[in-house]
Amino acid sequence: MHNVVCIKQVPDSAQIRVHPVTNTIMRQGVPTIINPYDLFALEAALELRDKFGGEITVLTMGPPSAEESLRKALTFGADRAVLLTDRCFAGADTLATTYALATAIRKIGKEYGQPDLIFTGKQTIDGDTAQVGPGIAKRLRVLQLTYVAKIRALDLAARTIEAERRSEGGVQVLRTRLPCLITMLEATNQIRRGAMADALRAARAQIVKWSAQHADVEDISKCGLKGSPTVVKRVFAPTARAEKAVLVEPAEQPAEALIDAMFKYQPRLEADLAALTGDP
Amino acid sequence: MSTAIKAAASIREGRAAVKKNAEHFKADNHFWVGIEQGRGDVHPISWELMGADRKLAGKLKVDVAAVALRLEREAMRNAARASSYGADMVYADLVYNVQQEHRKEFYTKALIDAVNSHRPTILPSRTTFGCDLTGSVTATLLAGSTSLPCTIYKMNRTANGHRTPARDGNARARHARSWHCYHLFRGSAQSRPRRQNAIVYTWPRIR
Ligand SMILES: Cc1cc2nc3c(=O)[nH]c(=O)nc-3n(C[C@H](O)[C@H](O)[C@H](O)COP(=O)(O)OP(=O)(O)OC[C@H]3O[C@@H](n4cnc5c(N)ncnc54)[C@H](O)[C@@H]3O)c2cc1C
Repeated sequence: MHNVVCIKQVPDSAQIRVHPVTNTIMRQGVPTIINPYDLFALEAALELRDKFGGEITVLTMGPPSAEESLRKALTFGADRAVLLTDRCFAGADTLATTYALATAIRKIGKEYGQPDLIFTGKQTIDGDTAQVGPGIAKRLRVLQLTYVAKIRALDLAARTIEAERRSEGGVQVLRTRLPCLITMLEATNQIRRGAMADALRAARAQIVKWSAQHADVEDISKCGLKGSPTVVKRVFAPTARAEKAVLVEPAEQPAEALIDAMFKYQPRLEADLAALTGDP
Repeated sequence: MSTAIKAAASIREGRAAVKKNAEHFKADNHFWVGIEQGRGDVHPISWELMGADRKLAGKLKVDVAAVALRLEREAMRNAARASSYGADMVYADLVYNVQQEHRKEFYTKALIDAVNSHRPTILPSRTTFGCDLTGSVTATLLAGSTSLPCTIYKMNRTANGHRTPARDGNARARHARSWHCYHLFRGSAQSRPRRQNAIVYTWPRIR
């Protein structure tokens, strides 16, 4: 089987600082990491390869420096790394990102065999939109299993997969056909320590680098800033949202004192509650 | 006038009002809020969204419609509550026995049909379902999305009449230039229920 894992290189949010004067996020000198959510996707793919064999291709779209993240993914045991890098991809919003990634996955299919599963993380820690996975699935017209906590069964002969999906309402067990796209939930596994052999291989490995042209992108105007209906105009640190805090003196009947204080500062609340409950 | 005649007249008036309202919602980029539900109840985030949208819609002088897809019979009554939370119109699609929440294709198609015919700005919630749906719908419609978990959000009208949303989320990004965009919103202000008659319009059956 052939699985593609999409990973994104992101700034290490634990080390991001906010400029004390301009209040903007300082990215300079901040180390980059593989988006932590993507490691759960990679480990899930590695576990499937342990059981069923096959190959794993990791794919990222990013600047040339994203090669570092791909090498890291190779040290964990991925077989091949593809870096989609071109000036025309810069400034992509989710729509342009899904266009580029879906095109690259199609090309990976042609070059290295059609993928059975495409993995992404649940979301990233910088963009945080959780839109890329469903967007890729839609563009590739494959089924999607999102927020997957566990892959319960995979039947390569019947080409079906059964997975647990966690949502607000509880856990759903879903079965679908291959190929499909899976967005993997966090804390569902633990990324392995790569083997020494993999580390050595990763250091010497040839990263496949594709420009838009190499990736068979047909319409450059759909990539990067040009193809993005959404732009991030400014990123800044949040201002404190604490509104008004009122200290209520300790009272013998604390609940009543609290309610009195609430009604005092929100006079309309009392009337609304009375209207709702039907009290005069 | 006998009671029966009065009742018939009021039903006719009601139907006419619903029709008029439905036409009105076709006219411009009104706001649509997705009413999310499960097990016969409405997800509270929907009411949060409604509260924030109501305020925003008031500023932009547009109306708010609630859209409830895949309504189970018992959820119908709950969805009608949307009007008491500030919706001017409730679009409801009754689909019995559709249990498969994961059947996103169904909802994606329904929303795409809706956008193509009504051109609204849609505000689904940032739940697992809302995120999935937004990703699929925007990729199909080639629409933009401002999609961080938001807490505050603003929208400006540009000179050419397009709305450009801006909103502050966890990472506090400001966006512009979105076109028919979808916003995922973790609301901070729940609207107060106000007493108003529900106008429920049943969405044409989706094939
Ligand atoms: C602060 C901030 C806010 C932003 N807000 C928005 C917004 O509201 N709307 C918008 O359209 N864009 C937004 N962007 C741009 C957005 O980050 C990019 O579109 C990005 O390319 C993909 O979105 P994401 O990081 O949110 O990915 P998500 O959708 O959260 O990522 C899900 C998964 O997709 C995969 N993936 C994502 N990006 C890549 C990649 N480049 N290469 C390989 N795999 C990838 C990963 O597996 C990841 O786990 C924002 C960016 C920043 C920095």
